[in-house]
Amino acid sequence: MNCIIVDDEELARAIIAQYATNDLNIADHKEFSSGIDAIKYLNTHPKVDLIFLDIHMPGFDGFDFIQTINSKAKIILTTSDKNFAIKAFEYDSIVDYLVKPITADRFQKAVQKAILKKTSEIKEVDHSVVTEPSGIDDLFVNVDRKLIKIDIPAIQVIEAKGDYILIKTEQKNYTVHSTLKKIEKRIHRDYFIKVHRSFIINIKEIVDIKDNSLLISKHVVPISRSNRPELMQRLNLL
Amino acid sequence: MPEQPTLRMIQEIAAGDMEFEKKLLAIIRKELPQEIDLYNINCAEKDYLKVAGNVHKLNHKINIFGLKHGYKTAVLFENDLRKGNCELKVEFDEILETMTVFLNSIEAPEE
Repeated sequence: MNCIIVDDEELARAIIAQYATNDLNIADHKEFSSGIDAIKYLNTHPKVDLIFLDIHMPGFDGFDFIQTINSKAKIILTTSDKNFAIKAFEYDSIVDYLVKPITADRFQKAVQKAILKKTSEIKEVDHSVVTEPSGIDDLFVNVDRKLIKIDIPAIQVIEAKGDYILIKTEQKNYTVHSTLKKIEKRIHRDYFIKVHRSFIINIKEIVDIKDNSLLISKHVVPISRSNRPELMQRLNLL
Repeated sequence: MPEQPTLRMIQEIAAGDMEFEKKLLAIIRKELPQEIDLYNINCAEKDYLKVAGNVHKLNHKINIFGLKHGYKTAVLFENDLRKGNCELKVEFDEILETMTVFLNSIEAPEE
């Protein structure tokens, strides 16, 4: 198995790396101190089988990471927090949960679990980032290797974040590896409008507009000068 | 007598590999002061959410030095900080001081 270690703490990485080196099941390992660097690596190295992932990392935590990656790798969470176990097992890709400091015995058990899960898995279809919508109001997005259905009219804001987009609904946010350009083609023009190079909004969800920004639910969204005329044209102005 | 740090966990992790044991200690010597500095900066700025993150990160080292009571204090302190309460700061600072003194008392590995 090939594995990566994602943890901003050098001490934690060193311990896992030592165990990985001594474990005959692990052929190779790479270390990353930031989630973003690890995601970039995963995007170009699909043959990673196992990820040791710290939950608490500044800026981009472990659960953001899991929702963002497009990888079949199994995940072993590592943390100093004993209280995250329940949330951890909401994700199919997570096979175990290790509390720091990690002992060698516990490490080996977790790796065995990952191997068992990997070998027992029935063939799965690898889905692309954003798939065809099944119905006129549905959009399916790939989150944690599950295709999650989003009700298009429930989308409030779509924000571009580098190689990802953040889809915000009233209930939940989804981080998806995609672009505004791609998602623009999948959503209704009736509902949505681009108000800034990084923002598409649901026009029906606007609460108010003030100067160069608008409010949707609790989100303040900037309006660019070039997109403002079209927005004003679409509004039912008195 | 207050709870004292030990090297037992580091020795268990290293499993007799003296080089690795030295490496772990060298990392702790480097990282612990950096983490404490960051904690102090965020404390001074009263950014309690960031301080909570710093305390969480320090918890691994508290655990690795076998400070069980220290760990419990750190967990309580982290939870309190997320609610904007920093009453346990003095107690937590004592844990950091104990670890720093202990680390300084161990002979530094030869370069």
